[in-house]
Amino acid sequence: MSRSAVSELTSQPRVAPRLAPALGGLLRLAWAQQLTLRKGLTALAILAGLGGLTYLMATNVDVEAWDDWIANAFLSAIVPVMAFMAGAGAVRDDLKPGAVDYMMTRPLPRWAYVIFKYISHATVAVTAGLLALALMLVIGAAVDVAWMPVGRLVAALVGGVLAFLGLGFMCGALTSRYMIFGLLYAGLVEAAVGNIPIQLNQLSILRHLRVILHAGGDVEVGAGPLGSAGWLAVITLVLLGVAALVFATKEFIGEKGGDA
Amino acid sequence: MNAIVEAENLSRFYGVVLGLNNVTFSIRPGITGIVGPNGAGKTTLFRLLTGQIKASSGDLRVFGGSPWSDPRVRAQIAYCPEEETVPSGVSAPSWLVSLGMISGLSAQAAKARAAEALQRVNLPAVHWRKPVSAMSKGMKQRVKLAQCLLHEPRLIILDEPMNGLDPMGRAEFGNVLRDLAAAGASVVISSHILQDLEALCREFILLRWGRMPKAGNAAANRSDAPADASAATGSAIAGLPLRWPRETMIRCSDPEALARYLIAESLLRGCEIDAEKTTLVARWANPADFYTQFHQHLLGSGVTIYEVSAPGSHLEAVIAPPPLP
Repeated sequence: MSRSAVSELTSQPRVAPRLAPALGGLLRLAWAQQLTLRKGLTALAILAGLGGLTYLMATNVDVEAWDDWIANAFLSAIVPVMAFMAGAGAVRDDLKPGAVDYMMTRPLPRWAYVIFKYISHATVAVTAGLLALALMLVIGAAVDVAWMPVGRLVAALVGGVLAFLGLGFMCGALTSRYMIFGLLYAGLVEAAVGNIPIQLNQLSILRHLRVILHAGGDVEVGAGPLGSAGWLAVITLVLLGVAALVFATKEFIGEKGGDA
Repeated sequence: MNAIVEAENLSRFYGVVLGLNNVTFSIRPGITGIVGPNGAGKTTLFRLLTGQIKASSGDLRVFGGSPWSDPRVRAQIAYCPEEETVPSGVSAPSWLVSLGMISGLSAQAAKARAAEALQRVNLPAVHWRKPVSAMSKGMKQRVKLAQCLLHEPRLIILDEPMNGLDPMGRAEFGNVLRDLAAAGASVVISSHILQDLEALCREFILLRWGRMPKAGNAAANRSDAPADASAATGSAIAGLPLRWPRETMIRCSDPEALARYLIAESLLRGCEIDAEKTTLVARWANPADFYTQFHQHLLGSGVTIYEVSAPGSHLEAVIAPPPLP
């Protein structure tokens, strides 16, 4: 093979791969995909449902119903499930036959693609979560229930969204059957290991969210909310790192592979 | 001309399933057609060229580098896949601007390039605000081609891009590809519409069951100009076992005299003359005997020839499986 002849042709590309515009492009695409009529109506329906449930809990005679709703239902169940599904769905959407070709043939390192995609979807998910929380707090204020400190609610929300979005990214990158991975994770780590008083329980994302909220009376505080925030950051980075590693080494073989 | 793609003993297997098997070829600047039946390995070749998969063995260089590991190589390549999976709810300009930015363009440059690309593929401006997912198949194909043009690639790879286009759309599409080639870009294209490929391409790569029909000689070279594909007679594919049409239609001044001459030369296995006595349909005893001495035979007959044609396209004749012995 005449390598010299080939290399003679190799000039600089007309467009050089650049990370900053690529991040901008993925941000723009993530928001453009959300700001559609169908997605907007779905979001409104979800907000309306959350608002209705919040009003019921805020007006409940049981004084603990409000805290249970905010801390145990919304921040520890609804937000994690939604964030996980959003993360895994975002990755799988890009890996559909045909769709993968538009992204993976771009001159962007694959690890950067995963990180930027995560950042893009994190902005969408955190914004949606904050909107929902704001709506709930407004309803709570209207009914005059006692709030937990807003700063902790926001911290738990943001931490939970980022960590479970990362979990979704990792599971979505690993397999199209990400729900099975998610259920295994929920059963093994969150329900089992996370409730056993051993060091391994630090792997539980929900445990750290409860620490930040101070809402789980029997939760050992350990290093406190800051320590738990640090743990959440580490867990998120590890999950994202695994997703980036999988993408960097994965071959996108479309329908033949049955996976991508 | 120097090659922009060089593959040597390139193989790709999906477990025990064969994708490409030990193919060696080079692709030179211009428009190159990839021809083969379904499952021949065309899409596997495209995925290798675009760096989506790695070769199981062998060597592949695109612009002197590896598309799998070098983003600078991918910066010079664009790919239009066969599938129509496009993001739902997003308009064509919005999608193209995002893809342009992901390719490295600034937001401003991406906007300008997206508008240029959509104009270049003749997507009417009234459709620009429509979600790509809601567009007709033909319009989607135009948008898919437009996303290839954003970053001025030097190699554009198109997998069945003419599916869903009407004849006028295909002609326009072909003109866009010719313009791109004239502007210095190289195009690699697969299509089941073989007449379109014949009209566009000067060179072909032939694949069948993951192999090239004759190992060692890769890109089939059509030496005749692509301007008049119907004139191609089958000899253009060099290095392959010659597969001449077994039947030829010859419109001439005296079909009976021509038939007598061809029978005397022992060329015919059979023949028919139409009722108007204007056309001879000749079935050859050995097609190569006629086609290799094409001019001499027709001149030697003394009959005025108006038209020579063969049923089916040149490429159809070449890619059809060999007859059973």
